[in-house]
Amino acid sequence: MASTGGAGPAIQASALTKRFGSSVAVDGLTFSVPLGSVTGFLGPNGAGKTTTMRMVLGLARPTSGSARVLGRPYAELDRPLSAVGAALETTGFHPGRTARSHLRVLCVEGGVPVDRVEPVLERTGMSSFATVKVGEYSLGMRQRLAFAAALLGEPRVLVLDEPANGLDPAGVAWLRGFLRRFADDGGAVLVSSHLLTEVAEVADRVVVIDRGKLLAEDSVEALVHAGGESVIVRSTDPAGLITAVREAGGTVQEIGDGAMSVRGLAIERVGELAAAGGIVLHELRRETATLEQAFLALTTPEPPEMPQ
Amino acid sequence: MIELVRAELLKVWTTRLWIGMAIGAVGLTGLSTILFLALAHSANAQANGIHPIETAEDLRTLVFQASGTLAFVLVLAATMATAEFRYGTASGTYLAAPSRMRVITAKSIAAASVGLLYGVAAATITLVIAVIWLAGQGTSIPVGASVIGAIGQEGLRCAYGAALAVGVGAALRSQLVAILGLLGWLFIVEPLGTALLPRFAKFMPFAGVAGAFGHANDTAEVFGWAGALVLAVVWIISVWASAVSLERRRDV
Repeated sequence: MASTGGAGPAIQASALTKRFGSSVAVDGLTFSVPLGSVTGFLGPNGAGKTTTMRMVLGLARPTSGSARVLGRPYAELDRPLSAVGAALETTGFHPGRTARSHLRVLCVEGGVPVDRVEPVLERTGMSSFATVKVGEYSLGMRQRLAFAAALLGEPRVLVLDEPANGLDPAGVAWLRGFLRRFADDGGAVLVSSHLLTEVAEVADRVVVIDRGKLLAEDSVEALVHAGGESVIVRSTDPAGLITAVREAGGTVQEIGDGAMSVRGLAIERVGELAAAGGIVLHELRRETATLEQAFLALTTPEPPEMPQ
Repeated sequence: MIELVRAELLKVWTTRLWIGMAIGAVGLTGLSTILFLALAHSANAQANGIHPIETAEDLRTLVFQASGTLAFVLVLAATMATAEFRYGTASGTYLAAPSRMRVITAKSIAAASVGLLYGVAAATITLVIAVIWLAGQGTSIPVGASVIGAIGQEGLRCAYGAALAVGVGAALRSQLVAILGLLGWLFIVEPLGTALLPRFAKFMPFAGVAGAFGHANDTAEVFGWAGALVLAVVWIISVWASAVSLERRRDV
């Protein structure tokens, strides 16, 4: 990896704001991506993830605020491809150009030795398609080529927008392993994805945004822990159980199929309440929050409590 | 900057458009040369001011008149900029080279180089066809410095056109609008403008600079070569500066 940059976060976004006319795509977003970690960048569709990434990379001008990569604005990096590798889209290829030509152009443009092309083609499994025109590629192959382009300069920082889109399961597993090793070797990864299970498996930290605003920035563990535990219970007398739970200080939410999720009470206490009220239970289990649940809890409105 | 210019040239050579444009330019130039030579002796042609090639000056004029390269060069050069936005490769370009001014400058230099090559090649083809044709008719015209100079001037005219076109492409971004706009300007707006407003023709980007590249303009008053050269530089800098200014303010 290149030795560009010093101490401090790999990426630092400070009060980043982007307006398109009257609509605010990114609203005062501040977060950081440390070296030696994989940071998942999560948010619903239209949350402003791609716009934020483009501002970090100097492709879009912030309305206000700033972003620094390895301590400097992207445009001021000496050899940007050797500092940051970015894969933002699978459409940024000339359909009449081969993968090898595409990468050679980027090498020459970015001051990267052209002999880097073959190793990255090899590494991303694209060697056998190197002379095929990109117009004939599947989505997965384009994704691999975008990733190959990101690796050309042996960067310290990777910025990847939905990199698992279109990859087959083997490709997804390879990507996960690669990102983990990259971070363990001291690199920094900012990766957006809607595949929350993938993010949960590979990310150390997450930045969650919605409607351009920061909702959470924490370790995956802390975020999931904050989601807490709940008790899933199904009974023949839901109304009686709800009353008993509420009187005992718990909260109840319907989760469908006759089941409910109880928070604020231990599983043993829920069982005791049911026994005391003579309520037959068909299901009683503890559920630990997942990243997906933590994400949904942050980004979707609170569902109404069940009526008594 | 040299790396960026190399990259821009590599972009041209690694797609097929340049081949199509080269075939078109060579084909049109060859065809118009042959038609000119074949019809120059007819009474109808002479009535329209076309004379048989008899002197080196006639040969020089033929090199200018037969070249159909500029339109193809304009299309190719405009596409060097607009294809980046049509196919989304601008993101990769600006990630590798974040300075938009440097990228557009490199594109302009690369486009001008390609234009020079096309112009010289087409003019050379005209000359070769003419020399062979005339030799077949038993006419021998010495190809002196003025004729060779005409080849260089045609190359420079195409280089100038390419530098303008790549700037227009970068400013407009839309491939269709840029190409139709350039060709419309070249074939409709300027001829109409020259005919209707001959006093303003000398300021136009193609008719006005003709004097700098050895082309005569019988229908309008134009600058001499020095004035035309200054005008050409002014046009190139104006279009380049507009493209850079717009591009710096826009998102990719």
